Amino acid sequence: MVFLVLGGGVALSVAPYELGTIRLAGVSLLWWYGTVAAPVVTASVTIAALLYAAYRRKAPASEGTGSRGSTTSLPRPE
Amino acid sequence: MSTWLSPVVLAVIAARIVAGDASAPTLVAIVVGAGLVSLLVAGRVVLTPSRATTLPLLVALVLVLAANLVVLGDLFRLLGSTREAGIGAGVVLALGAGGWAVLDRWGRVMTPLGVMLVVLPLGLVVAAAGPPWTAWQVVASRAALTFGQGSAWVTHGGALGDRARLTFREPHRVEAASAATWRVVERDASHVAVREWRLGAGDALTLRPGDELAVDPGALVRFEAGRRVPGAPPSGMVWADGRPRKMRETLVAVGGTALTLVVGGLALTPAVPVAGMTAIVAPTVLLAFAVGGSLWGLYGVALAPELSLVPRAFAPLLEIVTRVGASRWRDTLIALVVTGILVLFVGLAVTWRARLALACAELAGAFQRPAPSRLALFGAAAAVVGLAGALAVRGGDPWALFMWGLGLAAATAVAPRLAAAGPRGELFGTVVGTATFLVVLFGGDRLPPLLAAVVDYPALAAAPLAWLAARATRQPS
Repeated sequence: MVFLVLGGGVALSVAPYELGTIRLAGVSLLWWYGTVAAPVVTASVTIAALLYAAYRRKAPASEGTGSRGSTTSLPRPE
Repeated sequence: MSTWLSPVVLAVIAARIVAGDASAPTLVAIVVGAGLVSLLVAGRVVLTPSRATTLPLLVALVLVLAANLVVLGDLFRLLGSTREAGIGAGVVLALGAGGWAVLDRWGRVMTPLGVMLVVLPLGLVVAAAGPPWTAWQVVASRAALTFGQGSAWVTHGGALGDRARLTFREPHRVEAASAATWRVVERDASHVAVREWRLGAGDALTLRPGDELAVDPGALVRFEAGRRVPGAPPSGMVWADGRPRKMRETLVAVGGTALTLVVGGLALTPAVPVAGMTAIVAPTVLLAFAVGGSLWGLYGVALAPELSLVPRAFAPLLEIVTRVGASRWRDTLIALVVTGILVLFVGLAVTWRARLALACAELAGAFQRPAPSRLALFGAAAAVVGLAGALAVRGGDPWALFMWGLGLAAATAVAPRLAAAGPRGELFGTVVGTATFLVVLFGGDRLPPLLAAVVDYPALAAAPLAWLAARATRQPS
């Protein structure tokens, strides 16, 4: 999701007809996207994902939620 | 997370917006995205150093610290002191963070506190200069970005950045506010002439369109009110829309920055998962920092377009504070912002120390020695901080140092590890990543066109090659 939103910024930068320079409420679309929309959306999604992950970690194993199943650590090679 | 919330990132976001860099809004989004990715993978992707990656990681730590020391040097120079004093203060702070045990407990609070101190004065700026969208529209509708009557560059004169060269677009009478040697490159249709003058305080030169001016470092230069700022975008519209760039250049710049910050940052990712209030506070602090940095840049260009004369420093923050604050509050506001920047630096130094301790423990293990003592760790920190300080004194572009540091971490530590190729594969990947990184960095004009295109972002070539090399030589499990 984060990468998708970042990709949107790139697409807007190179879009034809200088799409990023279109004014919305007096400010260019690229500015709205890069400094407001993309950071706010990604931060909100991250907060939700982190809270959900914390909730899953706390959920008792007896309920069969597989609380630690999502961890994919990359330990150093021995 | 303190890597993305470090002083150099704040300085670069603000400076790029002042300069009218078309990729500045995307940089804001990338900084936020990179920090958020590190929070999302914290505790999942634990990149403990291995024998192969320890040395490149140490070099990366030196470069990241050096970049921040350079901007602290700039900050002290703006405050009327010297670069060396700022770098020295940074070295003392970094060593203090390395030897002060209480920071183990309070280190995590430093970065949010620093962000709060840096962002809070923006409330006053918004109250005085209007909401950001209004400021943006005012700048975007200007016919030219010019020196104001009350600008310090007009009344007292200002010092240009090191090795700064100003190109003039219109006739401009420029005055020396202190004795210095001025060098002017005159470009006519038929020839190029370089002239040198030794000017005393009060002496003036009239420069023509196309002339290029360079002065001694630290020399004070006074400009004419109402004239275009040399080097700044020619108009507000050009500032708003950015100078047009080719699609390939844009893709390389944005892709290179994103890969370097996101992948390189994984080497400095926290080892424990983010939970509780931190899950809400950390992304919010990151958001406040990036948006705050861009607002400092926006109000900088709105109130003092001449700030583009001194890029990559904290000039927008200090200049704006002095312009909008009532005179009796000025010193307090400046102290608040400067304290915030120093606290951000301490936050970075705490994270940096934890990474250094991991690398030292790994080095000790490689030589079959016991884990390093507290004193040994302090000695190692002193050596590495000293190296970073020496590098910072030499000067250079702090953003380039920062990107090289994270790029080196991406290419030599993270990419081979992500290949999950075992010790042999990882070692091979690290060697290929390091070699490619150095070739791109120092290859210059001798590089083939494909590598020459990514010369500013060596990780863009080195990280994929390191990953491929590690995968190609991985041991079957």
